[in-house]
Amino acid sequence: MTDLWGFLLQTLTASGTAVLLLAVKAFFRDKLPPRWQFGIWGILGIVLIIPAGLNGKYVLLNWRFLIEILKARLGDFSFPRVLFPFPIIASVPHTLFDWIFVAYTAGVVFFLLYYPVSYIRLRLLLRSGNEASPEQIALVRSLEKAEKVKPCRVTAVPGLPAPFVCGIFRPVMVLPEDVLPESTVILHELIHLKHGDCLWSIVICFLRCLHWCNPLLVFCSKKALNDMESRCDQIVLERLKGEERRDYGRLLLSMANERFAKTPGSTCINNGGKNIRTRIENIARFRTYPKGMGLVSVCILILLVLPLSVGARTPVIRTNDNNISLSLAWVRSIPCTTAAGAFDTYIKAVIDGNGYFRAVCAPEEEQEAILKEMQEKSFGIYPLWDSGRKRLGGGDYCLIYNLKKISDTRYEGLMVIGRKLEDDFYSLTCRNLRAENQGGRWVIIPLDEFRYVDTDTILSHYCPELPGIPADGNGRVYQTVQTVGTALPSPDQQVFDYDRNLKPNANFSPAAIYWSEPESEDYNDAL
Amino acid sequence: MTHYDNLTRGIGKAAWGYFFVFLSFRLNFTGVFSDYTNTINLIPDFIGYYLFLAAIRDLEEEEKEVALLRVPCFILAVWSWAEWVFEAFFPFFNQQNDLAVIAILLIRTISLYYHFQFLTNLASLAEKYQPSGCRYDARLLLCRTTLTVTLTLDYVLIYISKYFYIPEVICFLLTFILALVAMFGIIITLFRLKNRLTCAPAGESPDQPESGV
Repeated sequence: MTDLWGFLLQTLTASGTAVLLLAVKAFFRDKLPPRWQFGIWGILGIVLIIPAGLNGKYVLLNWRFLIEILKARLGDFSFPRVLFPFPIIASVPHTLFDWIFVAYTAGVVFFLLYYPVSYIRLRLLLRSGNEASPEQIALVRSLEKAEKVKPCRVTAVPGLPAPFVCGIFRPVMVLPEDVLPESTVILHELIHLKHGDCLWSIVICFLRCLHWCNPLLVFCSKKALNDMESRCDQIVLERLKGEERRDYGRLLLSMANERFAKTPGSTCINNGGKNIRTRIENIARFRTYPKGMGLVSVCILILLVLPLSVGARTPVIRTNDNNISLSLAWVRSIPCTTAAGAFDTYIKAVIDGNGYFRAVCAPEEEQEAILKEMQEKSFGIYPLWDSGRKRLGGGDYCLIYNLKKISDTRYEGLMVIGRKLEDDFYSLTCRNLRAENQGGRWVIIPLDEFRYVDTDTILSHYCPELPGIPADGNGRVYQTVQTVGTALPSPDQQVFDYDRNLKPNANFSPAAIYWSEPESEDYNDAL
Repeated sequence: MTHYDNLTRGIGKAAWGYFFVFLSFRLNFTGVFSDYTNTINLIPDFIGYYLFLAAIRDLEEEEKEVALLRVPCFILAVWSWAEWVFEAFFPFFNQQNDLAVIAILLIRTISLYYHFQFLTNLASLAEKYQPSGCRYDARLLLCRTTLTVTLTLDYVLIYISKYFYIPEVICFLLTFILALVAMFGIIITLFRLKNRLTCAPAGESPDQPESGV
């Protein structure tokens, strides 16, 4: 995230997922076990760490469209891009939005410092702790043995309301001094230890810091921590019987305390007094789940994780001539994800004289000009994308000649749009183009003006009116011909299809090679 | 009406419910109601879900957890009814919009859970009431697991095939055959269970007084 729009895109994408997950969780509240209720937050975690809009995809709704509408109203025509899921200030702030982004980043830095400081304070407090009593240590060790948990250091701190576990690499079990806690409470903490919950609490805290100004995601992080506690409660309750379960609930109530409740890298059984109620409700709802419940839990997770993490691509380009700026916002929300996709989109913009198509593959500095041109002219020549010829349309050949890969982010080639006239006579519209990757979005930059060539050479042979590439050494010349959104030309194929649908994710066809002296039959030698 | 009668009726309705949900007989009409192809399923799914709702009413006394399935079943019934109506009369309705895709995702999730839980409950009832020597419960559990895995696999393959080429034969072998086995396994087992319970002599019925089974 290098600007405010990128952050909005990321946080909106995550919010959409969060709403869906909350709805699904509410539906399955009494149906699926607490392990699943906690595990499902992993999907939100994945969404939060995958840059939003990656590879032209979106999760659930096309959030980029909303941002494009907002930006267009504010006169900002830059592309929102998320290269990393965390903020980076890449340039000196100039506009109000830049400063808002700086304020957001400062908030992230503040929280990323605040939580480690609270953790350090907690560790310092532990230094003041004393050695736990032999009874306490014996109780912890016996439970560790029963639960097959690696033994950890046990310390006792005076005035502590409830035990907790602290640390990832060298965990410490912290107990109140002079009190022998209930074995269920220690068991609860050991289960945290067994499941690596100290690490999970840090991950949740980190993600919360990145979206500190989004109340929905902050709420979700609290809920995730609470679900983590409920999962441990469930495991403890599965080991208890009848009245012991009620006692466990009463125990929770008696320990309600906010102290150390939200320190990352630690787990505390009370997890904040406000959450106790939910957990008591969960305990009241306790039941053992049937064998095989794990299977359906995992299957539901798999079902949700694919569309929510991989996302989907926009299937259709929607335009409405009555509202040009809205239609442009929609098409700008669909990036070309491949160089071939950008060539394909540009060719179709030229053939159809369609400004919306041009906006899809135009660099951001041209976007405002396209909008103005489209608003000013209801008809006529549009210098930014129009070839100036009579509308082309059906029966056109769309080819890329002599495509050259300059670098991983740059391709150059000659666009050739051919129309068959009478008596095997062809009218070609040509222009040299460069496809360039600008922040994950492929755009087309024309390198010269439109040129018009008439030829009687069939396009599936070497065309002498078009430039060729000299082959090394032997003085011969060849042309490479590729398609992007139409059928691959071949010497035997005289009919080419023109597919009107935009393919912003298209791939180049394999290159057909035509030599200036085809009779030599040394095809495909040169490359 | 005794518990035992309710039980046999409930299992019978569940068996017929699966018959309607799993099997389809579709008639296509082009240009009758509109220019699109209208499809009428003569064995509509929503009747199956209606039967499931009735079965839940009959079975919840015996198996309390079945009551949890009333809401999911109702949602699936409404959805399948809407789907049937749209398929038959409004085929031009575009299911490709984002909200429809979200709704389909939720419905698939609910459906996956519903069938898993309902079959688990039916297997639990079979375990209690099946004649000795019969293994209807184990068969139902096996079919349940197969169905759950198949439904998930089907969805995953559809999703992955959008981005990667997967030969159709593999998709077919993986999902269709498994689904067929699971579906017919469930229908046949439930009908057999129902018949065995119905045919059991009155004295052998494990009907108990109010205290329950």
